[in-house]
This record gives sequence, structure tokens and C-alpha cells, in this order.
Amino acid sequence: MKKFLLKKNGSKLPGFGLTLGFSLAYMSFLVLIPLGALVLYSTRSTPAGFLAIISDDRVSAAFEVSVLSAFYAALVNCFFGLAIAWMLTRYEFYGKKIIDALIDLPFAIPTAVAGISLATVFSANGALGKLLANFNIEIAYSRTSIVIALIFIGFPFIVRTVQPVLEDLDQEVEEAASSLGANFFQIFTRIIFPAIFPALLTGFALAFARGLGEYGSIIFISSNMPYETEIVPLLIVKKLLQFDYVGASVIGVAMLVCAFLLLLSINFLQGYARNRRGT
Amino acid sequence: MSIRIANLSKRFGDFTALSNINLEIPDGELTALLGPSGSGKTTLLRIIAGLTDPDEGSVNFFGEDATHKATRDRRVGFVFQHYALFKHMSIFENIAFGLKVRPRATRPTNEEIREKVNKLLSLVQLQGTAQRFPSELSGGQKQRVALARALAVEPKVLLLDEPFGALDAKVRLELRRWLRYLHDEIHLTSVFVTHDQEEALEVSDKVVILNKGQIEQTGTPEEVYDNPGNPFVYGFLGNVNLFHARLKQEGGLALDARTGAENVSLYIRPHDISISPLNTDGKGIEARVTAHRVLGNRVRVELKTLTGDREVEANIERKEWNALKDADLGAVFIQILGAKIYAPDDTWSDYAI
Repeated sequence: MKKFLLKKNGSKLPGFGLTLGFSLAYMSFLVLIPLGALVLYSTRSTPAGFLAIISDDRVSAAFEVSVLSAFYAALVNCFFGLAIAWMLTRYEFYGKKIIDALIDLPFAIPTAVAGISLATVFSANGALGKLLANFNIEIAYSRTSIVIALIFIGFPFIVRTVQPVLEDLDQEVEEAASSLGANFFQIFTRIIFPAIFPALLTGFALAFARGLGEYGSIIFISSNMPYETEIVPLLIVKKLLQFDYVGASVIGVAMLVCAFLLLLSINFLQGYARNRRGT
Repeated sequence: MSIRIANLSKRFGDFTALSNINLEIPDGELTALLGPSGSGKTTLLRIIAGLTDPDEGSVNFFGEDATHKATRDRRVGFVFQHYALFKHMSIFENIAFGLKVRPRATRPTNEEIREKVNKLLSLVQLQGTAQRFPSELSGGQKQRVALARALAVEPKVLLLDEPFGALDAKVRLELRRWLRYLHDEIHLTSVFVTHDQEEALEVSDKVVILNKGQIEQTGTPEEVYDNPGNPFVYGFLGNVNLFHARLKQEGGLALDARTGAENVSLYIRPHDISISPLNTDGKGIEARVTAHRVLGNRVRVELKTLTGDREVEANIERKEWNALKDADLGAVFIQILGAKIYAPDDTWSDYAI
């Protein structure tokens, strides 16, 4: 087996068998076996029952809330994250290192803390909530609040994927474009953006996937109303609390498939974007 | 004069890249900025292009002050050492870029753009590559694409930053000759930066030699080679044997002296030395051959003088070397065919033989 793989791979680098074995074992223990168990457990329901659970109004409403919120949040983060990455790579200013370190905070702090803080700030009595109330905008406990929580959770993904690519951009290429008469907007849209687009897609996919699975912060900032502001992970937890393990596993599998298909399509899109660059 | 540079200075922190540069670039000629690394030649080119701002001084384009003009308004074509092609665009898109980013009012139609790109592709001898991507081309081809891209916008001045620096020796030689032919065809005012004296002498109409942020000498390749203004220029334009010598009262030269008011420096090119087994005219210096290397039709010979033990490098013809073969290499005579004498009062004179 090992010999066969080595031959097929044609690689002269040592350690292929070792790393392949390790990767497979690691993936199996941490990803494939748990997820396989989940899928296996869900087969306890009949195909008809499976469909019935998925097509339930409350479940599909929750899917809509989860997918749309994660999508909008990831989309907003593309602009935000790109702007922050741009600022961190293009300019020198006092406190740059501190801001750079702050970016990763959403990774580190408990999501519940983030959710409670955001809920407090955006509630009718909160600092920002009061301000927005003047314009008759209510954010806390609405669908918008879910998006805001997911923006907070997801933006480091975009910054950290785009930043190194922006840093690696060849300054001479932009100088060449400007000597050819291009203004900044043209340089950005025709030269810089195509170069960072694959990285931006990766960041988008990561933020989006993270947003789909987010639970801790949302249950504090959302009103968690069925059909309105209830997300899929919360629905799964609710089913578990009602000892409906099969129902929970079915929704879990549906979510798994949904996330996998989305990530796969983004990967294909990325491959297409990379191919177009001819590299 | 197409470009006039006056009192230009540029510092990077503590490093003085350029100090008080005054230079005129003649219209329609190919000018070389020649100097060792760190001499400020690239900085000067970037200031001409508007990619770097000078600290002091002015840049004048065709009678118009351009010191603070943005690069995109200067109408300069810039060619980079590492090509700086747009990787995600086809060769066609690369060359068409400068035309496509023009405001709608002055933008040519798609048909005109296609025609122009095809014309440029045949000018740089790359027909048939329009749909390829930069990663599919060789270094020499990429640089020709970069040149076509720069020419597409019909620049008033073409600036090239070490355009052949990243290419291998053979391609470099071909491409620089080709650039010369191209220049003879289109007569576009061009400035190129190089650290290779051979390249500068071979390609340019005018050479500007820079060192430590200052211009050492300006002139045609012949002028600077035949009449170098100072020891730096002499040393930079080719290999050199340097001797400290004393001018004798009777007119001769004593090589071994290092003291006395008559101290002068004697500069001799390796190919201005001939080696013979006999001291026919009595002016030869006795030496022994320590090493030699055949370089095609020429031979580089290392010698040491018998008195004083000074190392001398000679570059002689293969025929001359073959004639020496039977002689005793331990005792030959060096004849100096030409040399420059640099006196302490900063004057040059030719060594009378």
C-alpha cells in the first residue's frame, strides 16, 4: 500500500507514509468517526421521518435564519476585514501592534461573554442601543443582532487570510499600473482585488462556516423566538433537552451536508479564480 | 532637452541617495545611468518617473515643471527589472491595460486596441502569444511584454530599471542589442539604469556615471571610456592595474617608489599590457607568469614583477600567448602599451611610451 502510494505520488521527499498515516489517523479520530457516528445515529429515523423533520416549518425557518445571518455577516466582514487588513499592511501608525493583537480577541474570549456584552451595549438602555433608539432602530434581540454577533465572531478570519496576501503584493506591479495611467480605483479593482480575491473567498468561507455553527454568543443577543430568531444549533440543543436524540441528529446531519456543500462550492470557486490567474 | 533635472537631492534616513544632481537628458536618445549598487541610479530613475519624491530640486519635462506631478500624469513608460507583469491577465490584457484605463473620452475602441496590441506584439516579436499568461513565458519574453505594455500608452519618455538584470547572460546580450535596434527605429527618449559597464557602453548614446549619489562623469560611451574624468570612472569602466609610481627627473617612471612629492598613480588596462620573452626596446619590466586562463580567443595572464613583487594582470591575444609558450615563463618582459597617470593634483595625463 505504502509502496503503491509512493509510486503514484512520485515524490522523493521522505516521510510520505508517516505523514499520510498520521493525517488519516488524526482525521479519523477527530473528524470522521464522530461525524460518522452522527450520520449513523440519524439513520435510526426512516427516510420519510428524516424528510418530515427537515421540512418542518420551524426547522426550515431556523435554517433560513442561520444560513442568511452567517452569509450576511461573512459578507459584511469581507468589507470590514479587508479594510482592517489594508490598514494594517499599508500604513505605519502609532499603536499598530496593539490593533494587530486586538484582531484575534474574538478567537480567545468566550463567545458567551461576547454575546452578553453585545446584548448589553445594543439593548434599549445600552450605550449604542440608546443612540440607535433615537433613529427608531432596535437591534438587540432581532435578526440583525444575530448578524452583529456573527460579524464580531467572524472578522478575524477575513483579516488573517487577506493580510499576508496583501503584504506579499508586489509594489512594482502597482507602480507599473500607475505609470500606465491607472488611478487608484482602477489599480484596486483591476490589479489588487483579483490578487486577493482567492484569499478573500477563503476568509469568507471560514467566517461563514464559523457563523453557521455559532451558538454561545447568539443565544444571549437573540430573542430566540421560533420561526423568527431561532438558529439551528439552538434548535438542536432544544431537541436534545427534550430527549429527541434522533431529531437532533437528523438536523445535525442536514447542517453537516449544508455546510459541506457550501464549503465545497467555495473551494471550486477558488480553484476557478486561481486558474484564471494562470499560476 | 526633454528632461532637465536641477539640484536634486534625496535622503533615506541617514543615507544620502542623491545629492545635488544636475542632469539633462537629450531628446530622442538612449541614456544610460551607470553606477555600482547604492550609487543612487535607481532612485534617480524613480524620481524621474514620479514613483519617488525628491527632497530638494526639480524635474522638468519638456519645458514644464513636473516635480510634483503624479506618475500617471507624466506619460512615462516604466520597465522594471522583474517585469511587474499583471499575472492574472493574459499578454493581450497586459499590453492593453494602459489603453483600457483611459477615461471614456480618450479611450480607443476595442477594435483599435486590438489592432494596436497586435502591432506592438509584432514589434516585440511575440506574435501568437496574446492569449497566453505571463507565467507561461520565459524571462526574455516577459521583459519584451513589459516593454510593449509600456509603449502602448505612447509615452514621451521610456524608463528602464535594470531591464536585463534578471536574465541569463545570453538572453541579456540578445535583448540589449535588440533594444538598441528598437530604439533606432522608434527614437523614443529613453533612460535605462544598469550596473554593467559593458551594457551601458554597448547600448547607449550617452552614459551618466554615478557614484555615492553624485554624477562622476557624463558623455558618449567613447568619451567616458577614452577620457575618464577620475580614477573611479576609470576603474569602473573596466579592469585596471593600479601602480603607485614616481616620475623621474629624466622623464621615466620608477614603479617601486611610494614616497616623495612626485608620487603619481598609474592606471593600466590589462589589454594595454603585452608580454614578450625579450626586452627589445629596453623599456620592459621583468616579471614571471604565475597563472593563466584561456578565455576563448583571449588569455588572462597573472604576473608578478621580479623587483617589488607586484601583481599585474594582463589580457593578451591567444596568438601572443601561443608565441610565449616556448619561452621561459619565469622571466618575461611586460610592455606597457598605454596608461593613464593620475597626479595628486587631480589631473590626468597620458603616459608617454
